Amino acid sequence: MNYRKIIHVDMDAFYASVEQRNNPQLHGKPVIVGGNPKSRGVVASCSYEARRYGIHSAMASSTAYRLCPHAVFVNGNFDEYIKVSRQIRDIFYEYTDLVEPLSLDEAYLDVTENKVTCASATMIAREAKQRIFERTRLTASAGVSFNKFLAKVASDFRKPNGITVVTPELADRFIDGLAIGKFYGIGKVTEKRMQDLGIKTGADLKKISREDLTRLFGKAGGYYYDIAHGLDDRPVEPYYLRKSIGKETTLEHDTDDRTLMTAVLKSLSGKVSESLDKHRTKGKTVTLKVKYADFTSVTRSITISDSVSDPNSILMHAENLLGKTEAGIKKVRLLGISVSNLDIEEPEFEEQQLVFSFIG
Amino acid sequence: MIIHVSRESLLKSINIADSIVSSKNINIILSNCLFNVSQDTTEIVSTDNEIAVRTKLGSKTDSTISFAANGKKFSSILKELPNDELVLNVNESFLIDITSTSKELKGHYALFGLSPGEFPEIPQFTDDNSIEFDQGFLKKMISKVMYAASTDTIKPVFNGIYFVSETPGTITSVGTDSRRLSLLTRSIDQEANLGSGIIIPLKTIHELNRLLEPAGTCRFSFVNNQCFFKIADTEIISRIVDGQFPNYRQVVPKEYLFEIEVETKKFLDSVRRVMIFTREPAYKIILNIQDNKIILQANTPELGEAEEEIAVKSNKDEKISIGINAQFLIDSLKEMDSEYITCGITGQMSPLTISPLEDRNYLSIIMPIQIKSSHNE
Repeated sequence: MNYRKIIHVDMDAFYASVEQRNNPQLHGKPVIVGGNPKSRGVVASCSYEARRYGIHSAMASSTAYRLCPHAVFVNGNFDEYIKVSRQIRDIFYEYTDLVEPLSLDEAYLDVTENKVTCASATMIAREAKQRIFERTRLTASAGVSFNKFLAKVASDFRKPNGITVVTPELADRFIDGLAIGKFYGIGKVTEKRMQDLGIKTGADLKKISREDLTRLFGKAGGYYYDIAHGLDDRPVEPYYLRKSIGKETTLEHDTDDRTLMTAVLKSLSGKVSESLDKHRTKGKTVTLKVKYADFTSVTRSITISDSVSDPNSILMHAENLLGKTEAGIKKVRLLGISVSNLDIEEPEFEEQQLVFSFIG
Repeated sequence: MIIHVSRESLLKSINIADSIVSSKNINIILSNCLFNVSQDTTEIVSTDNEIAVRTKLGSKTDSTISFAANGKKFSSILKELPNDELVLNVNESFLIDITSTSKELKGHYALFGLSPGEFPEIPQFTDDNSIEFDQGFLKKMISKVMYAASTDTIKPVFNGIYFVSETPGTITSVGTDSRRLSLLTRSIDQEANLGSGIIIPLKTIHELNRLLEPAGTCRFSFVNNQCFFKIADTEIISRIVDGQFPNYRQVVPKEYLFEIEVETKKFLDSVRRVMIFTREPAYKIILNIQDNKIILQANTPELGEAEEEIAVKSNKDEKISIGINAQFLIDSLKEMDSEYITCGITGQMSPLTISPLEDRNYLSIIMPIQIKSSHNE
């Protein structure tokens, strides 16, 4: 059997670590990124120093303040986190295009096939961690396994700055010893219910049949059964495969004025283009959505051979598509443009380190 | 049993053995050093399964014993003890009681050792076909090229130094990470039978570089996929990297567009200053070479810019702009121990070759950074 090679990379206390990196005065201090303690805000991220006081993310900031009054509360600079996140994602793309970001600070990588022709996912994980540290001075933890679930649980196993490998041979033992709350998808409520049923570890979970689990937990029960048996065939879905990028807007008043519609399309094209640039991608399919005043809607799309991301091309296609609708004949209530069939734009390295071409 | 040993020698030997021990080793026994004690010698062995160290020192005891112990802890306590003779008392459950004979200190230190049982067998040094080197010679062969080797472990053949005898009576060492390459050829007064060459892992290379002294001799041999070094009282046994080293000769330029002569230190200092205005990981600077001078430039958005000019001697009236990683340039220039170097230029997109002025057997070759055409002029 050929197993996949999946890596889950999770940055350690990401927002708080970025703050500590950027502000040396925060080094070694309990740092909390999130709402002001006097507000009703919550902790978005906290440094390991803060965790020692029992503080964790999603906790009310006021509670965090009570636990550690001398903690440094910062608002957080999301532009900066996005910038660093992109740097990290670029590192992942050096190994594979099959990168599925879950958030700014974690992602799955499928390295079964990879750009560095390395058979060892562990080696790639170690290497990627090292590159992340070299380029951002931040640490990450990685889990390496043959499916998403195990890779994700494994990345949490040795935090911070750890690496945990769960090979097919080790999977059974690894799952057996896992506390039930550690299972991805099992939240506080389900955990309590399982505990009450005497299910405390993966080994306990495994003893229960699929039928019983489905009876007890509904559809999720089947999922619990599968993961307890190391079965999880969810693919790593790269962003560009599953997403289209689009914007739509409801007009202030229903209109049959084509000039006005063109103006709206122009604004939408600009926004879509901006968003495509932000995701560093282009797309081959432009889709126009028109909702008429009677709430019926139609879509028209065109697929072209060269990917587009610039506002003028998108606008041109959208206008042509608009001609294929009844807009103007019928009053229009909403217009939307989306670009799909996205590709990853090769970063344009106009300045690139050249390498020797060793042959033979 | 009681062992008498010099604190200084024991500390030194443990440090030698422990330096390759990885604290991250999953195999618990391998995070320890093995101590084989006989009447007048103590042998300390360590390994991470890729490289092993065996080092010997004098000690006195009336019997023999083997035990394993954590080298880091052992060395930490020894480091803090006065430099008087030590008495080690190892009991049957491998508890190591350490006593200093110093009159200044009253203390008790007992380190829990382990049974040596699970410690893997380390091959013995084989003297067959061994080559004797001057330590200083080998150290140079290593230190002059190791900076160019890749620290990435993804491509193992780049994560090591290649040794080969290209022509009888010579030995060549090569390191490359595919963006730069360093190569040193020296003559030796014996046959070095290295077959088609061997690649020694970078970790072993670092170990050797630390152990080799400017004077004295060392012995080297290899069998199958293992190589052996014997340096004074220490033996290093290492895996040889499996795989084919790239055809490095093919990337060494055979002729140049033109060559320049530069004062090494001036160039190095200049690159160091200009590099401050670059960013990692590219550390891009531009060398504009024309009219017997180099203008070094760095320009980084949101950071700043720098420009310096130094005089050079060019053999042709050519001009060119080359983008290059300043850190690579520094790494190369630092190893050039001649007052002047020559820089062979082959084009904007092809390698820059640096050599000491009088020594074309030591080459440092760097691939440029492709730069925007606006620099082409």
